[in-house]
Amino acid sequence: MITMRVPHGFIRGRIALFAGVSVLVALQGVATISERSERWVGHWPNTSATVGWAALWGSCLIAAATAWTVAAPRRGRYEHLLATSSRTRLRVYAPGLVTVLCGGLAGYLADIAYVAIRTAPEAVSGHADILEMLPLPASALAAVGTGAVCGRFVPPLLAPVVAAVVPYIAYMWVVYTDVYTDNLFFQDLLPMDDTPRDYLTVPAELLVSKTILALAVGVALLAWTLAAGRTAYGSAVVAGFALAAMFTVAGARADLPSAYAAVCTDGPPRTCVDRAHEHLADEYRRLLTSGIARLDGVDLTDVTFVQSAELLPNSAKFAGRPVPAGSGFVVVPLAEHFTMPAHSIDERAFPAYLGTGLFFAPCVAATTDGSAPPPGQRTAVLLYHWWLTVNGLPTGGGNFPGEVATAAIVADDQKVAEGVARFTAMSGAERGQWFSQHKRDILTCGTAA
Amino acid sequence: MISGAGGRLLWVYAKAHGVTGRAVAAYALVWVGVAGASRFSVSALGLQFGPKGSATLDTVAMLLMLLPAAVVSRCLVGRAASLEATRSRPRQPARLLWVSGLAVAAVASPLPVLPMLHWSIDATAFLAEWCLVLGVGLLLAALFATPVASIASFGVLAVFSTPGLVPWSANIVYNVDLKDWSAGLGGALLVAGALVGAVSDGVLAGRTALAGRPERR
Amino acid sequence: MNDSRVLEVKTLSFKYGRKTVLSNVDLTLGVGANVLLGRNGAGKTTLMRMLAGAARPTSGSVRFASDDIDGRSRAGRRVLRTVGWLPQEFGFPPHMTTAEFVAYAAWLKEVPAADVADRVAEVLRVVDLRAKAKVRLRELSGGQLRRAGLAAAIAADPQVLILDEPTAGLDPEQRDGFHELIRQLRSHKVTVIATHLLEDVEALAETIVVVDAGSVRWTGNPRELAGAAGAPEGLKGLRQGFQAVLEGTA
Repeated sequence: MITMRVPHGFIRGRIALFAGVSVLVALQGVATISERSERWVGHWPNTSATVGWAALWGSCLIAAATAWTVAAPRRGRYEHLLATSSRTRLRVYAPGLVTVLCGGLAGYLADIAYVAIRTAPEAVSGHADILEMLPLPASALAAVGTGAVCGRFVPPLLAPVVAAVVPYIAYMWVVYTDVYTDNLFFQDLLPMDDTPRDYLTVPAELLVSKTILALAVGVALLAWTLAAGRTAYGSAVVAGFALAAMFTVAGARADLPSAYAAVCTDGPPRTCVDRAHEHLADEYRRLLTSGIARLDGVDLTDVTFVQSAELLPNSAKFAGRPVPAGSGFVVVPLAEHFTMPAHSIDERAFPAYLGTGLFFAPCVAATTDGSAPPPGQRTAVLLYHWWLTVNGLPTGGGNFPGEVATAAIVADDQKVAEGVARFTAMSGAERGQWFSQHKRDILTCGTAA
Repeated sequence: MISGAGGRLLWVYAKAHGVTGRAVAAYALVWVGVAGASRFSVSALGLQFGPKGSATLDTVAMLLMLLPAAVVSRCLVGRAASLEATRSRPRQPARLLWVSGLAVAAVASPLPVLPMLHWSIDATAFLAEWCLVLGVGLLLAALFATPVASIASFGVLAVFSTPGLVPWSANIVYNVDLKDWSAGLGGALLVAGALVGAVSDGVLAGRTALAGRPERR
Repeated sequence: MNDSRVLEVKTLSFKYGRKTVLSNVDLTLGVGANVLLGRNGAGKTTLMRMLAGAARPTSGSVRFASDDIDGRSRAGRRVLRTVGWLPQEFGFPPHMTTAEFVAYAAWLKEVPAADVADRVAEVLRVVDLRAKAKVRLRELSGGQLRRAGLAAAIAADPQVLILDEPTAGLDPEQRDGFHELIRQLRSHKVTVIATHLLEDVEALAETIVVVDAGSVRWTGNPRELAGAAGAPEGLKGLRQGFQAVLEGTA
């Protein structure tokens, strides 16, 4: 009996290709995704959506590896053997293509595992959304198709680098199109999505059609490369339908009413954040407690600290859950890491937000009617300047965008400067007494000096 | 000045290293593509937006630079392996001249497309980045097989093109304030690439293969 | 052999990884057609590469006119100038024309730049490819490509000509032409031809070296090879003699 044995070298080559692709794809994915960690760690919806970013360079690597594999016969000048083989092109190229595809999928799986491991310990609710993650593995097939086309038709030595560049150019082309047409429409073709999922969701139809589109494009390109005309035609038709379906919902984002619901804790201090930021509630409370302690024993037990002024109306409007009434609210933003929906608190900047919420916000609220400056404005500047100083923060207005530069005011206004000097010279007990006496004035921007 | 016979031999040498009319045309076309891509002048990755003359290049244009770099790297490899394996003419002088000439021609090659660049692009920074990409490409191509070198160059650019991965203050590829560093490093890499390319002649990459086996000379 | 133009192989061995390809080969080859005869995988091509200076032996030496053939030294390179090699499969830039390819070969063998054009014309005339001088190599037929390879091998008028399976893949008419060409060249050169075709041996050989399993098994002339099996001269006798050498009965 004649038995066919697969050569060891062949198997070793496949294992090396698989290992190389999977490791590179996994590593680049971890690097790209972790760089955006403040946007998603601890929040399942954002975590689920962020894995798509692994495809940014992952597609390039998978396409390059595919092109390298498919171009091998032309590189080694044995293409004629394949051309005259009784085997179909699919059977000839399948081992390499499947190896690269599996390597890419394994890499993406590692990326998904990575984000899950990072988020799971910190998330307080929800779970991974498989539907959000589907476009990522689907994009691997599209990348394999792209690489196969390059591997077949581009000069063999240049094929890998051309294949690596093509997915990135396709990505940027889509981005450019949206930038120049001023919308967020074509970006929905891509596996990566920058829409924060804190208060919004992406329609399931969009995610499904995006996945089908990537799969169909991949199969169509592969089939075309492998001279399987009917499959290519059929896949192109499917891709066309998926594209049409996608365009009917592209750009659509739906509100997530439950994300607006207020999640409050009893004091002291009493705090309220919305459901989307529930995972930050404990951290928020801890930082508030330690910040208030610096006010030398002032009693703020009847005050509710909220993350934004919109929390109160939004909770009632979207979630149907009004925040329990209290004697007063102080708005102290979560001080997330800069402007995007971050999922960690910037501990360094937080005291500045707290000081602004306690000392300045009441005065800002008092001047919105356009009348004369409220009587406590000078005191607010004085207190905020002192607050920044004792917390070791700069007083030049650089703690967050739009912050008042108290140093300039103190330099220009003699009375404020004298007030700061006086306040700083007080003992802790004297300051505590002063705060207790003037708490109401501080929280209403009244005359406190 | 190169004599008639010398000029003909130079052309023959170039052809033996993969230079063809079609390759030259493709090379020029890619540069037009790089300049065209720069017209968009939007870094979708949010790396940096700058005033006139302050920008290097958009990420797409930078990645497109990999194509001319790969074409140049491809010309390091001799195509007549059996003839070169039994040559009596000393290898290094001609090799050094070829690699150096190739590097100089490659550095100068984007000059014609400079007027086509977007107004915000700093021409010096643009050339510095090209030197950097080319230097990395040449050095890696001298050490590894061309496709490996191309993909490794791609990896280097990808690292610098991913926002946040490399601090902006150290991003010598995109931060125009660091163009002097880019030019210096690019020049050093070019020289190193030319020298290693001249010495190695693909031996390190096992490229001068005869009948499927690497030369052990 | 009083002629100093002698190619000497002394205790040459070559290993590829752990595999011994050639083992203690000793040979002395003079002017004329020396045919290395052996089955596929006998080590002929590896030996030819050593003779041509394209690969270095693991141990032992290859010398021509008392100088080592070794591209690393100045003296070795000087010897390489006198060696021409037509490998079984030679890499060629497909977009080069025949004349350019030969010119490149001449330049690599240090033919002065001013003489290259004349030399190219001369060797293309010898191999009857003048009409194809400006044709790209990829457009040549198999026989023409072999002749282009031969032209490159003789571009510097070598004293040693190494031809590895020069007639492989050629049709009978092309093979006859090639035989004729080699007969012209062999008269004043040390010509070494590796082949497994007895037709080549009959047409060309003045000395036969039978190589088997990486070592030299027998050396002699065609008449002696046939005689080793007690057979008459001719193709049949060569076959029987070759068989007898391999079986160890000669």
